[in-house]
Amino acid sequence: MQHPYTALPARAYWRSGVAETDRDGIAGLYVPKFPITRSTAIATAGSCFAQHIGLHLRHAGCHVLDAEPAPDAMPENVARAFGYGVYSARYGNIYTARQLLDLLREVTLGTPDPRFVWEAAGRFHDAFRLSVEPHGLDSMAEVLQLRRHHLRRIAGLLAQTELLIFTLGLTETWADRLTGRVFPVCPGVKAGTFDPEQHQLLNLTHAQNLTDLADCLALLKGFNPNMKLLLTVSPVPLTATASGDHVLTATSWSKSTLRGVAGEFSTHPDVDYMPSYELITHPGAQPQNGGHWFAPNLRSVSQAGVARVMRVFLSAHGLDPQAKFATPAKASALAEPEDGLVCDDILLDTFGTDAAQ
Amino acid sequence: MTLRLCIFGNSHLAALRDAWGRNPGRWPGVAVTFLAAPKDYLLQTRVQDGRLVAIHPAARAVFSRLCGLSEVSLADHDALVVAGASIGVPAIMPLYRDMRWTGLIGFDHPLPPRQAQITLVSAAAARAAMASVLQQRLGYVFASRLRQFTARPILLTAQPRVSDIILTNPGPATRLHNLAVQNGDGAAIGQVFDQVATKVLADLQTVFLPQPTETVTRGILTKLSYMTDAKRLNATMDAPQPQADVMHANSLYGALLFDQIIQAL
Repeated sequence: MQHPYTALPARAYWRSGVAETDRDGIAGLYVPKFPITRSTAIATAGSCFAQHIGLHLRHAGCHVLDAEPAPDAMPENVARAFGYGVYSARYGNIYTARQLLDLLREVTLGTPDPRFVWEAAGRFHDAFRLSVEPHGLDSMAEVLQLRRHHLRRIAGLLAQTELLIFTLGLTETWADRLTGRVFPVCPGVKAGTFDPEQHQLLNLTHAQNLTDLADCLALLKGFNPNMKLLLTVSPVPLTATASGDHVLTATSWSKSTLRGVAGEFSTHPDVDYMPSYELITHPGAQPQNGGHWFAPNLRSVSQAGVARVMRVFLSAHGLDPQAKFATPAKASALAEPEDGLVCDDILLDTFGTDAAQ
Repeated sequence: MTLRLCIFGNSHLAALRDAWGRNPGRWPGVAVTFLAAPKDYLLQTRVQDGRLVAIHPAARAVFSRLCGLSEVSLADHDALVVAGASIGVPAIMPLYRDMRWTGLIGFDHPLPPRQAQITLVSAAAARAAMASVLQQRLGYVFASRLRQFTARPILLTAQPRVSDIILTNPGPATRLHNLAVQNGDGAAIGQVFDQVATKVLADLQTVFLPQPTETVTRGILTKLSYMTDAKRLNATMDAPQPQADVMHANSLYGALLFDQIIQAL
């Protein structure tokens, strides 16, 4: 008797695809929709897990764009602290599709909004990329000047980009009620002032995320009609939730929403999905010899976990994950995933420590 | 009561020593010990029983030949001075090669052909880069070593800016200085250097003495009158710097540094 399950490949069955396969590679888990070669012009963005992707792609000899490279003479420790070489531009972490959409709209306009310059202790901060200027800036005018420069550089970046790899990180985000713009960090945590009349928590739904991604893709195509989008979902749990739920269930809700969105949106012919989320979190993808891919805090992904994800990713594209291509020195500080990542939301952990006492 | 100074340095110490020799009686009540050597010989030392001693025979020989002694007691001095030792505007000028920071006006100037891509960075990033550069320099490293072993005042005098003769005789080694002056950025660079050096050294409880203002021109250059007839660091202080030298200052400059040091104490 013939039916749809009689002629499926091994990867379609749990027993042959997971339980009895080499779980290190999990053959067929990631079948790229479109190829990545060493000449593909790649840009990276997303939540802090995305920082690994750019680094490993550079290691593999891929053409990862950098629109705001660190000046050669800038010492490496300074470049790292000021957000150079982390992503393809100094936008810091972009945790949500909404945040990416806001940024793309702003790039299109080319004009920063002075309402989003936050002051703290006499220093001035760009509310959308607090991590790239750890000490803040000298004046509001300087923030705006540098942001205009940043927007111009992103526009140039996107015009060259053939593939944007974007890692979805969160559904929870804080927004300005008046303009709708969302922030990478809740106002008041590092800079700015939290005002419940002005700021609201959003927990972006599946439908909202889908719409945001569709709008993002439309804007990206405006910069380069041939651009393709590769989505991943960060396996890193929430540091904290303001939803009222337990952080574990809030994490499940957020990640399952993002996974669903990524799956649905990647049915678009120019969008693909890379299962880094499953490779780290799924019980069927855990290390053959037991254990898991997380660091002892059960949040950070271990170095072995990151290496495993990137091995699967690069191998699927025929790129040798063992190749040692020259890595820009300014990016090499990411060699230790636990300590090297720049994550804004880790700031929230400080408050958790207080709460536990 | 005598103010006992111990002045450490590299080749730039010659300006102070020359000034001291040429101006007997100008600084009454001051006694000075000089301990100097070129390059990084100052780092080939350690503090042992309160005395700074040369570790290697080569360093000991250089100190002895140039200054007639190879060790000094830190406790026998009221204040310690580090002269120049690479803490100067020239140390940070390589940053100007491919970066500009907010506050400079040169960012919008047309770039010379073949010049590297210029990146605009924040003033904070520029200051951090400068601080990091200065923290690797001889003067900072040596002052931090001293600070581990003494609570006495430590002062560091700026290495002089390069001579303004480069405006009429430009050379490849000072190309960035010429470019900065041409772009109108000299004053801003000089100012931020002084701010950063002051802060970096303050973190070591060390007082930074900026280059005397009357010797500075265009923000990042030294007036030629303070560079002419500069002496080389040798035992007898009788050898002039090579004619092409644009880095070393003369005894007029050294005398102003002495005034600065004594005023600061």
